[in-house]
Amino acid sequence: MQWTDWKLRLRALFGRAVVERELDEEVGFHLAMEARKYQAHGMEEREAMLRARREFGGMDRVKEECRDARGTRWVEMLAQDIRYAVRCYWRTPGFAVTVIATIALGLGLNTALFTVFNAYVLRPLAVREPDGLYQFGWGTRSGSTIFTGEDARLVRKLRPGFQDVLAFKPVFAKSGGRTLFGNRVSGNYFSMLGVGMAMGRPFETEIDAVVLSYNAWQNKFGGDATILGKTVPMFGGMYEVAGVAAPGFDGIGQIPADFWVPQQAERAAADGGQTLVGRLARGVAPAQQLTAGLPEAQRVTAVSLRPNATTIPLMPETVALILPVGLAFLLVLLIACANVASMMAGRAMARRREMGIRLSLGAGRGRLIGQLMVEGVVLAVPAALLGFWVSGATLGMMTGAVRSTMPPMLAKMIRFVDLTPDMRVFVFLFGAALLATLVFALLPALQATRPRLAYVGRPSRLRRGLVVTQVTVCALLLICAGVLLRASGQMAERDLGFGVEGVAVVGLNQPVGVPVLEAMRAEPWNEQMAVAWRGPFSGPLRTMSAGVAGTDVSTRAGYNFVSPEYFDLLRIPIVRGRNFSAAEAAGEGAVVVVSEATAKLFWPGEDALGRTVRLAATGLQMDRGNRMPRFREAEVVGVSKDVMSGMVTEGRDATCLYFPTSGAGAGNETLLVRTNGGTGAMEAFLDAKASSSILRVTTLEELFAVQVYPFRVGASVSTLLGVLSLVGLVPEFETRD
Amino acid sequence: MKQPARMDLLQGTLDLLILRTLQGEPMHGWAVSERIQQISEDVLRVNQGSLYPAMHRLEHQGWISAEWGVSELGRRARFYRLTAAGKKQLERERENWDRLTTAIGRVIELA
Repeated sequence: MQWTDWKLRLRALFGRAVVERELDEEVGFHLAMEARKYQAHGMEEREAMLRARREFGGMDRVKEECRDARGTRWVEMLAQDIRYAVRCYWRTPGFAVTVIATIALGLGLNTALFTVFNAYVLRPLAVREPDGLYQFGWGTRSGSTIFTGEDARLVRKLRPGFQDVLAFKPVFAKSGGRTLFGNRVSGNYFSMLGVGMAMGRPFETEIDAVVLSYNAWQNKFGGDATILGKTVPMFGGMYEVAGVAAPGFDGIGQIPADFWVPQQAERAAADGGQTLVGRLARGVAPAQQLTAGLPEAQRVTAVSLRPNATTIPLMPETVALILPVGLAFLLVLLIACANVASMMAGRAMARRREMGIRLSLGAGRGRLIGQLMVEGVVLAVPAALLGFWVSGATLGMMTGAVRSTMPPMLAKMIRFVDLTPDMRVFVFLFGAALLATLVFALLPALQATRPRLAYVGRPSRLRRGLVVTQVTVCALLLICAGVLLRASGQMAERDLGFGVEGVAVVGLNQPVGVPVLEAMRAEPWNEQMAVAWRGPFSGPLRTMSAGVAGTDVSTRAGYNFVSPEYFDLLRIPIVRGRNFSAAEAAGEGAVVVVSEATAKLFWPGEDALGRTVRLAATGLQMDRGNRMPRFREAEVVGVSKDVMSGMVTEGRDATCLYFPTSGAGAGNETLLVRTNGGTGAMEAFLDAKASSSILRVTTLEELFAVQVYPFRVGASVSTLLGVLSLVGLVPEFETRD
Repeated sequence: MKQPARMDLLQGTLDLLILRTLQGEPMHGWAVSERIQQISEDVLRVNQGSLYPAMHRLEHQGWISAEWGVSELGRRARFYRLTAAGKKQLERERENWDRLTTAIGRVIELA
């Protein structure tokens, strides 16, 4: 392909009239010269002209061949087809609008879903060489992979197979009326990730510095340009803003972080919940075993690595999780396409005569299919543009709906990931639009141009196939919706075994002290108050190895530390024996209240009262982030009703051992308060008296709603899709005669 | 007018003839066909219907270029000239032609 060729082609395209005139003139000149030659041989002028024309041959054929030489025929043909298609649709705007809207809806919904998928699973984190990052896990005999600060320190020192290892732990902080989500991170966090600062510097050795995310700085701190060096109240202290991280960096966890603060080594040592992320050393394959030189080699039985290049790793498990959702959305698009395909097929059928005549006049089938495809593309392009708008609107609506229906506790704290579309989203939209066009335009085109002698007045196999698919998909989606709705309904109405109404939950990061508790007990809004290590609905119960004294059979049993008021406050009946005495609570004595299920498991058919439970206690107060009893055996003083205090999805707690504690006990993380009239008065009290100890204030009802919420979202989404596909079916039955 | 025996042009030879004819001076289409006819003493008659498509194709290849000029009739005509690329193409096509005719000659002589 040469430059002259392109120049001439462009001229032929854009100066078509001029080029055509020139061709006429050139041929005309030729004929004139030829006629003059014949006249010179003595011919009449008229006859000479006729002779010249005869010699020249078919004028139009020659001109066509000259046009062919320009190599722009296909463009002209395309333009002609497009003009024709646009004119046709202009005459039947209802048809065009229906098709465009239907396809746009399908494309828009799928693009919206893909945008979310892309943001979590495909978009690399804004760090240096994200592909080298792996999240690190240990399998131990007890199955625990909870890392403490001490483990993190060890791994970072040994660095098995890694260039460097960082540790972070998610934390919430109340700061001047704002609730912020952030990470406590190890000192090498920013340097290892290679994250730059938009302004300021990362912290190094200081313990009261904070780095804000760009997003939080913009949205929660008003983009204050003089923020560096100012202090932010958090965790009961004052933190100096050292820097603002580069835009686009939200941390490497699943919830975007607003801030990062340094981990205090001594406090983090026994603190569980650390996430370890390493940068793999060059030349080390991720699959290589990295156990060499690990501490307590006999306890660590396996090492797992999870890629951390994106927010959620692209692994088979992730795909298996997202696939059903993706398929449901894709099916809606296919239903939209199927509807449009049958509309297009109907139109094409009406034009069968035209097609038949053109075919018999020698038009190639390829040419006709091409023309029908062009007619499809003419609709697909505006549909894709509209679809892009639909996806933006859907995402806006979805985040809005999630925000307003989400339990307020979550809505206050959680910021959504950045959902601006990028190149991958556009590629997806383009691909989906292409697929859609193939389905809704090519299939009918192939069918309509199939040469056939007579039109048989029966719905075609294609059309019937489309309807069958649609009905199946629709039924599938509605069944899904039904199942999820039922599940969420059942969960909401489930008998938890205890009363959640009106109970406030105060998360503590350090004991509030007995004097404050006494003052609190005297407040008029306080009806009842209990202390616990962990409150209900804060995830699965923590477990420890326990068994019947005198045997060596052990099971993993759930356990908790609670003050005597816990049972009363939550309306959990003690069915046998008694509650803890005040002395047992204050002294954290070696007694235990077991749940009915535990009693049945440990002493089947016998009375549990007065028996002894053997505990695999290590003598440590904290072990791997878990609070441990200081005794190795405990006497059963009471049996309580079974409740669902862990994950509601798992039903009633399979086992639960309650050990006594009181407000003076160390390591308790929760206050439960039954208040009269909301939590406002209590929050004001806590802010004034114990603000440095308070992590967050919420209610049991809210925590319960958080657990049920995912089911409600699932049910709403599948209902939406099911209804959409049902609506998609209506035209099918309307056209049935 | 007596019609001499006409010979159909071999496929591909029209390009060669057009390029060779334009080697001397710029010419319009009619002159090219006349010149070919004259020089071949009326043996080769260019099918006028295929002349123009061929010339337009050569123009797209960049081997000849066209320009409007004034003809002997005093009327606007499109004059074609050989380009530098066209000269090289002409040489190549001549070599091909020589090889072809030599080969055919040898087969006729010796087979």
